[in-house]
Amino acid sequence: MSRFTALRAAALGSAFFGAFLVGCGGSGTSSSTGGGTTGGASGTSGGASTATKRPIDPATAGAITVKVKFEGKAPSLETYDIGSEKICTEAHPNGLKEETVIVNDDGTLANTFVYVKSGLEGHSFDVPKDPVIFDQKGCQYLPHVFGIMVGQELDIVNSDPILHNVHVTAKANDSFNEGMPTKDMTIKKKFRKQEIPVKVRCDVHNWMNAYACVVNHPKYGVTGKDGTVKLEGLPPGDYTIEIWHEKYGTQTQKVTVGAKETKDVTFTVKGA
Amino acid sequence: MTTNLWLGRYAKLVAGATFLLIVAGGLVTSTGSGLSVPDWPTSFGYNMFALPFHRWMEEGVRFEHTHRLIASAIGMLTIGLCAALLAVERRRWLRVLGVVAVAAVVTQGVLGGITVRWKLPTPISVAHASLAQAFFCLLTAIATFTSARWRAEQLEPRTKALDRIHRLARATVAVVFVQLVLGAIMRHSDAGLAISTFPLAYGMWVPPLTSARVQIHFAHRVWALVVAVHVVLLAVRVLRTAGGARRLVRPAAALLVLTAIQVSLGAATVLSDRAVTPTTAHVATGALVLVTSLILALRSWRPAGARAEESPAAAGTPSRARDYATLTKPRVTALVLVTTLVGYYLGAEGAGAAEGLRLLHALLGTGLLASGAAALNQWLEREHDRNMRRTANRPLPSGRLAPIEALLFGAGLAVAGIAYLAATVNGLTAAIGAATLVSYAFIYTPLKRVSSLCTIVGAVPGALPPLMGWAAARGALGAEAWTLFAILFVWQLPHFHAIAWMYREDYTRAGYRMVSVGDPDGSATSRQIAAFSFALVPISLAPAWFGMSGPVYFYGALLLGLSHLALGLAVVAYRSRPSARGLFLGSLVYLPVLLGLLTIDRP
Repeated sequence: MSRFTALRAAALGSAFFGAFLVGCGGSGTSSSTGGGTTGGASGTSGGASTATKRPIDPATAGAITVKVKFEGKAPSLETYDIGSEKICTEAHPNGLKEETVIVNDDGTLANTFVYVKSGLEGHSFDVPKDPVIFDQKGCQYLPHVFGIMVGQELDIVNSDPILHNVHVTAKANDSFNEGMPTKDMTIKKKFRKQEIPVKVRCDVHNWMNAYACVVNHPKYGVTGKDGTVKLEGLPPGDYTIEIWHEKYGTQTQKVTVGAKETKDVTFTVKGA
Repeated sequence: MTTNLWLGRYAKLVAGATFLLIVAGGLVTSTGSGLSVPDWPTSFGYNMFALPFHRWMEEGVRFEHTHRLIASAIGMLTIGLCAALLAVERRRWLRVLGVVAVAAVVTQGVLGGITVRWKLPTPISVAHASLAQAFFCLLTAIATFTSARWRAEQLEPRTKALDRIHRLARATVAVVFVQLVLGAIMRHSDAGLAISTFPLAYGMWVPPLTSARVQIHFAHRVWALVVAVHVVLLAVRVLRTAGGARRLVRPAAALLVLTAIQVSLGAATVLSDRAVTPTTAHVATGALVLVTSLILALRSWRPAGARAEESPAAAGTPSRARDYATLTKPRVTALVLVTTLVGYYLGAEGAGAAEGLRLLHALLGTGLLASGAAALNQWLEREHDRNMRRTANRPLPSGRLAPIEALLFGAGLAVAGIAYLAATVNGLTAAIGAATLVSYAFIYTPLKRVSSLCTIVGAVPGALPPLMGWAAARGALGAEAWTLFAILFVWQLPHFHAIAWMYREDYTRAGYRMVSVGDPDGSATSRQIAAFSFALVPISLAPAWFGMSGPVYFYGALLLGLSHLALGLAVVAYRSRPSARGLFLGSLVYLPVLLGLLTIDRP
């Protein structure tokens, strides 16, 4: 009898612990849904005033070609310890290197985000209808750096048949942390405010990381193998162009674009 | 004999310092400073004791180098302890333990050096972390064995109940140690965030265990439940069968509280993205859980064997200072201060130094007042306390302090507390303080022998401290403040009914009129327990209605309230002493967790 009552007391005691565990769990969800709910409507944040919105006249629009050159010595890239999970090791039989400083053969720098920082105030832009696809494949995020417009759909896809989680820590936008346990699972998300960069990481595979760059207009790009981004459809005027790189931070340059004119701007990033 | 006394104290000192070393080591890993000093045993090529101060204070180095310095000190202290044991200790096995301690501390130092030189390979780091815990246990054991109390206890009879406690405590030590090793593996294979949500794993009860990091992380979480079950069973067994022996009840209660704290720190570690403070506190508290269960195992251990005849109490009489401290009911006063602090925190609108200073004034004044009220209460009850086994050894009924001393001491503290609050905080806080004093010492205390209503009246002063905290912060009382009062008020009734039930014979003997006393079949008491446990559920949700807290609190309070209700209904159903004890323990867990949620989820 007394043994029975002891067990019962213990069971009730553990009910307490259970209650406590669940109680704490709520704070996880609240951090991803709470906070920052006062943000403005998508597409209009960042100082653009609705009263002066006007479309861009294609007849006079110009362009800026931005080239990012790399000078000096690039740091050697570390090979990650990607553990023993088959999906990861089979996708990268020769190991997986960090994707921080990728210098192209022509001396330009890849994975650099380029965008118009100022000069487009007062113009309105349609949000692109196509979503940005952000994939988890072979225990790697593809792409490593990407741009997305405020309000544009982001389709987060898991192409691996194993558990990944997408842990987004944002300042201006809502952070979230979601598990993606099955192959081809897709989560749709939108960002509500301009923020460069928003860090994305996988906690299950702690080497997986990526950056989303959220801009409130569509004039942006990420440098690839040629280290170049062409910003087209810009009305004549004065612009500030900014580049951002995960290791080397930001640089800006001012440039004036005339009607139907294409200007070249070159940034130089210095390594060690 | 005097030598042995000092040996015991010295051993306690070394054990305490070892805890500091574990915290320092935990900080090194939490801050990622393990390789901030690349060489060993030298530091940046210097003799480690001659490292220039400015280098010591560099980022990361300040943790790693400090850890090395404390570790060296512990090494010296351990060698000293071993030498002392070899010199004066008669028990051969204890001298051997001293030698083992030196071997362990040297091994630990070398492991620390290797892990630096090899750039933190996981197995070595895990071994270093695990041996640290084992070493802490070893020193705690030596400190226990060299204490005069332990030697005296060995002469006391060995009972079946004690043996059962010992066996469960020993199992708990093993289970906790396994958990600490799992924690070390998780920490040093960078799996602390492999499941970065809590309590569910990315919305699932069991995540796909495809990755090694997820496996080890999940193992740590599942094993935490095993630890929790052991701790609860152990605490229940001690409270049920140890006959109120403080030497066992205290560590058992501490173990329960530490484990609850430890679970919340584990959650905080994950949810804070492994912030340094909760992560290191989680390591430190883990060590305390281990050592507390070890202390229980040792104190319930009678290796000397045979059920020896009872020896005269060796404890001796407490000092006058201790008696005065007892008069202030330190644990009750501490609880009063905690609830005052919560009230203040929830009421505070500002931040910064001025707010902090006012809080200190409020706590100091309230502490003085609560201590004084406790002393006055014992002065008023000195005759009756003599008739209760639980209280007969208090300073006044035992005659160690004269009534006039207690009266002056209590009145002085209480008046000083009220005056201090009025002078440094505000008049409202002082007035509520005075109301608390009057309702406690001059209404509740005499009423205890007149009417069974006393429990309800007694809950008023018990619920006023958070109002004092709120008043100190705001200078006024609002609906939110009264909500806090209501929660505390209603919580106390099932809590005190459960205590009264457990000690009903004692209370009857002393002539107190708790409900349970004039209620042999328990129907009146159980009715009240049920009613107030029911009422507590909606009342505890009120802070969410008033916007004082958010969804975390709401659902947490709901689950806590329902669990508490379940314990209350168990008392109604079984009307037994164990069920009353279950409710008592449950209510002890309920309140700190609820207040914790309230402070965490403040908007």
